[in-house]
Amino acid sequence: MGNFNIQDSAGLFFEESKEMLVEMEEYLLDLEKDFDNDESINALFRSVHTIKGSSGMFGFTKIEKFTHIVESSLDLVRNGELKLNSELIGVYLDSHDLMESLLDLAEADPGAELDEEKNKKQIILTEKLNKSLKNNSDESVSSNDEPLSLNANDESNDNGDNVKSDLWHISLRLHEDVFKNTLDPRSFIKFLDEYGEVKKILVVSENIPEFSELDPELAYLGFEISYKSSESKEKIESIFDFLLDDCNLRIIPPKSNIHEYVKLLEELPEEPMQIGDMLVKAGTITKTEIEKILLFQEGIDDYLEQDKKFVGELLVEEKLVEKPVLEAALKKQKEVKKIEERKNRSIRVDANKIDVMINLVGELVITGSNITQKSELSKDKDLKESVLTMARLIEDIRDSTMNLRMVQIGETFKKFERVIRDISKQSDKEIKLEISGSETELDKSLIEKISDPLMHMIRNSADHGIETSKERKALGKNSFGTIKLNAYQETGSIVIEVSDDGGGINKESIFKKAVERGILKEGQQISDEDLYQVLFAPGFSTAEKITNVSGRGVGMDVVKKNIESLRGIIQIESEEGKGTTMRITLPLTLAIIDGFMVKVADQHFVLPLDMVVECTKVQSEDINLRDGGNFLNLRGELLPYMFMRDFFGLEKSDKKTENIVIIEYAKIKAGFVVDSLHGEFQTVVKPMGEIFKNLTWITGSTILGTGEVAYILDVPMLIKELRALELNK
Amino acid sequence: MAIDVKSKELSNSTFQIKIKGDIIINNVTNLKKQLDDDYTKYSILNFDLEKVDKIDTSGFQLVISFLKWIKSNEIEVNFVKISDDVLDISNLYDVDLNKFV
Repeated sequence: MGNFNIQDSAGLFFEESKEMLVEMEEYLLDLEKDFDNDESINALFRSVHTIKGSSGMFGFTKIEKFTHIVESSLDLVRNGELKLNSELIGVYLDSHDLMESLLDLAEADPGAELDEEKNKKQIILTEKLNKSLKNNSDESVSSNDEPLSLNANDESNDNGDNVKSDLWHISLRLHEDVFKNTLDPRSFIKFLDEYGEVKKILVVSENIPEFSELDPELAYLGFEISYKSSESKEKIESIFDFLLDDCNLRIIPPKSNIHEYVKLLEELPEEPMQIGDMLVKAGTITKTEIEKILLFQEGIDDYLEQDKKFVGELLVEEKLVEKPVLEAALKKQKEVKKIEERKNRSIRVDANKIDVMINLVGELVITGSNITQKSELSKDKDLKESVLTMARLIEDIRDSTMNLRMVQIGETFKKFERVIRDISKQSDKEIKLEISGSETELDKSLIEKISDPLMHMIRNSADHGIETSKERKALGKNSFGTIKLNAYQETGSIVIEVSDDGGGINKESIFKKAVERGILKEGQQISDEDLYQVLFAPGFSTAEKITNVSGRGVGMDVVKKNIESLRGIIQIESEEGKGTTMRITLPLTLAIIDGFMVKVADQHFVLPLDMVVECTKVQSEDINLRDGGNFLNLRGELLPYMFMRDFFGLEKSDKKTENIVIIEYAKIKAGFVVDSLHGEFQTVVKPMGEIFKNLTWITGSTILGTGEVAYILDVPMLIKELRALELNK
Repeated sequence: MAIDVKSKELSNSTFQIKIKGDIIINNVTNLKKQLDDDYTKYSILNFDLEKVDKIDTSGFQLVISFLKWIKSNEIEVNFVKISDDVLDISNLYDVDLNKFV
């Protein structure tokens, strides 16, 4: 048996709770669009309930207590006793943030206290949540409900033993031998008063035969009892323990408890369970009742196959369970089944384990490549065929393994809905976020790193791009502005676009500011694309107002820096009055890539195959003798190019024809002049190490089958350099 | 305690039944035998349960059955006296013996 490690489990708790928080935020944002979406309300409640339950289990009482208050408020919403509105959603969203802070704090140091600001926030939120509870209790909840306190030692069962005016119904039918077995129902019925109050009792005497035919030692009686009690069904049944074998007993819950049972069923742990077990666990039926029903069902099954009935059906027929309760149990069972199916579809694996595996696959690729190379020298056809099959398999293994790290960008995009919502609330703007391309996959590490720059860009669009509703109306636009987030793959790269239909960028204003800042000169000729790049200069801002969202000129330079650190580029397109699109292009950073190998002098280089458009040969004189700059006319398209041997300071060649590899990245095409082309090559990217960190044009190296080293060219950086060179000329 | 049933004609139309002892499972068969008679010539029964020390549910069932039978013969039942235990079980089962019949 494995050792249970509480630390590991706590880690899992934090991980899962954070996932629940993400869900909570999503449900809240959904609900803001549709206050009456029951499915989202229930799912929201379940997320909060799970966090509360788990935090209690791990002893994180601060999280548990605050979440309990949120849960209680949501419970009222769920029961239709509290109406959702924008303001309340705001309170829940703030509560979500606080829960996140509490989780972070507990993860960092379980004993630590919230800082003053957050503590104040917690007090305010607690008051607001309690107010929602209290306001409601004035209307429908018992007045003795105390407001929930963060400090209260609240051990009450909040599922409520709230039996109000409704009564239990106990139906008792005596078996005929009960008296002979010296059992008298009188004592049992009398004992009911110990746990409640018999409100009404009806003796069912219809089955008593005529006096002449009566066997006085046999029992013919029955009792229908209305009973007031706050005890559980199990407890009430226990009163009749000794009589159970000599009677038919049905205990039907009060009407108000039907609702309680439904709630209890919904809150059952997400474990697969039989309907009977679920109903027993929720206290709807007792073990004895389910055992009897199962025996009954077995009897029917043995007797007539066509009369076979489900346990649930029998329970309802026998009036042991109310139909709504059974329906709730069936719904819960279905939900759990779905969750289980989902769980079975994915497993949680430590990212380090995947990295180790990727490295090993990398080694396998190199070794495979070595074997392939050696087999090519052999004349053994069978060996060559086997090696070919092995190479194909290695390629498949490589692709499958690399996919393990790929994550859809949709989750990251979803996070921005909250940002947009908050900005809309803080300003006089109505902003709608439209998301597309959520299914686009990126390496997990890339997704983590792109999140912050994206956040900044979106805040900028919302704050500076989109006009206020009033301004938009005056301009004849929709009162609400739209920000679009889109992602897609394009020639070996991932493109993420943030577009808005706002006012666009005022070129004159940028130019003026750039001149003031000495970035540009008065009267300087500059393309729009290059002018917009000024926006990424440190401290540059054209915003007239500094808001708490953006406008301090801090951020866009960091955005660019972050994107460039991922070897990506950021481009801006804008049309005044119509809107702006910011486009990030990122290379598909993978540990193993399909490469295209070239040779310059005696050095091998690898280009990402996805970026290679075509290869062509040209006469040396056609490109060497040009004096108007390095441009090549490729079938009418003018492309910049560079001599790799010159660029890297390698030995000159006296060849009469040159090989040019045409590459494309971020919609920009360029040519690299190389000595020879060696074709496709499975490339395991090995990082260059700290000592080579200043090698700007190289992203890594790879080991060839021969043991030689080939350098992997950083195409985005080379293109950028080429453009800069041409611009300077 | 053994059961003892005393029947007595009070008039042409009225008769009285007095039960003494415990109306419990051990005695119900015996009691039924003692009660099983032809009362059809009477129109009123005075039923005296004052001396019933103990009554259980089987006894109560028998009493109900007997009263039903009497009633089906269109005989009016008057309870002369009822012992505490009979009253207790009647109250527990919420049965007003007068009204019941």
